[in-house]
Amino acid sequence: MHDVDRLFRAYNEMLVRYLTRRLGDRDWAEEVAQETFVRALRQETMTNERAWLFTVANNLVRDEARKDSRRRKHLTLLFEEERDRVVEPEETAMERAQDAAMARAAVDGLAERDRLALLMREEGLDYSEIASALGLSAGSVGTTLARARRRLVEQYERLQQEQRRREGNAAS
Amino acid sequence: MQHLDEGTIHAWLDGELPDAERAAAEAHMAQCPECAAAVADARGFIAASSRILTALDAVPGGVVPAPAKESPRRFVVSRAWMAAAAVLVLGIGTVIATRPARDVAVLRVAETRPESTPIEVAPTTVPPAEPAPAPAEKPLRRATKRIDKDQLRNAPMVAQAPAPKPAPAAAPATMADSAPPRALRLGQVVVTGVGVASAMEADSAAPQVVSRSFTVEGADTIVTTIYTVKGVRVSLIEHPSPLERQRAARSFSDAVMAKARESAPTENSITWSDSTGRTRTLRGAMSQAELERLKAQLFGATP
Repeated sequence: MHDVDRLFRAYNEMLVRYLTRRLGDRDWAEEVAQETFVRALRQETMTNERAWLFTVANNLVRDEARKDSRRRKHLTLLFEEERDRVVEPEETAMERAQDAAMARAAVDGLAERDRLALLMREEGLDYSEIASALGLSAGSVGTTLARARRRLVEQYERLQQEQRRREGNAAS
Repeated sequence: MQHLDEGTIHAWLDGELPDAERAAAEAHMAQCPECAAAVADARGFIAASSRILTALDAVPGGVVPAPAKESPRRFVVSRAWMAAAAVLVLGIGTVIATRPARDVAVLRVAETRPESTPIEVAPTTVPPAEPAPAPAEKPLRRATKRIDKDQLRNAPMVAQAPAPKPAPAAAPATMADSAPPRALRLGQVVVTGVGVASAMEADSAAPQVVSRSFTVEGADTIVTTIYTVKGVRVSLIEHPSPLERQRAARSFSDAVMAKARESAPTENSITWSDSTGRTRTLRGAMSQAELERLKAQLFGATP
């Protein structure tokens, strides 16, 4: 049995940020994080608690996504609406919204495994923890991360260029 | 040496390259301009991807709509949670425990659908020698609706159980279907009363936790706790805010850890033979000691 209070204090913030980045919804992220800690209560042994928590959170998200892919579709729709809707408001807010929408699109464009590895690494998980959470060999995590980072940046830059082209067309 | 592959470079920059490989990689980089350039690129990708990901943090809640009502996701939480709910810091326990009698009366008429009991009473392995007398069976049966009816009918232990005290002032079970639920709203906590308590809980004056479950609907984790207070079944339904959700998880964990040490949430069973040679098994998500206590309640100290 684990000291869930300590686990919560140590990992909640990290887990919620990871899930928010992954799911695009903070409430949903908090909900999944909380359920993850509930599962931790019932877990007798954890060899690596951080990897365990991320693995369980990943599984909860996957189960949920399997059950209701409609929600994800709706989410995508909302992001697109947001991108289209934000035309006139104050400059910085618009830029932020565009950034977020492009970042989301770029992240969603990654392969699932690459995306999860990258998001977990951003929360400070080491290679062995990422390997354990994703069922990879530790030796392949570097390659996975390298590919994820490069593709994320490339996709994001491509989206930026498209955006600039659209703006250019609108101006002319 | 061959040029370093991209994975090795990222692993090196992440400080994750094993010692032996690291020394070789560093030696190579020192004299290979191509790999030094690749390292610079990789640094750029690492920094840029971190920056891109931070753009995802300013995301509001409630973006994703609640799932359809017909398919709520249900988590049933372990026995440890059920037990721990009695000492919750969230104030749930105190809502029930400190309500004056006047309010308890209100709770009694606030009726919704009956809830099940987590206590499972297993039938014996030996067929019953005689049919179970109906009067003793009735209250227990009404109280434990989710137990299979045939199972109850065939369970000889019911025949031998001391006739349970009928719960006082209990609303008839049919009310559940006809009357709209009346609820006390206490901040974000809704309290409703339900049906008749089971025989084994009927005597208890202090609120007792019967079960605790989570229903996740969209962004809401709805917590349902079933108590019995003086034989009346009361359910507590909570819709926490995100902030409360976090706080609650902390307080829950304190309470749960304390309780979890006392009783394992796994299912246990006890089996014994009575004076007629009949074998009985009592099974449920309780500790052995709790099962023994239940057995004593149902059959007396010496069955």
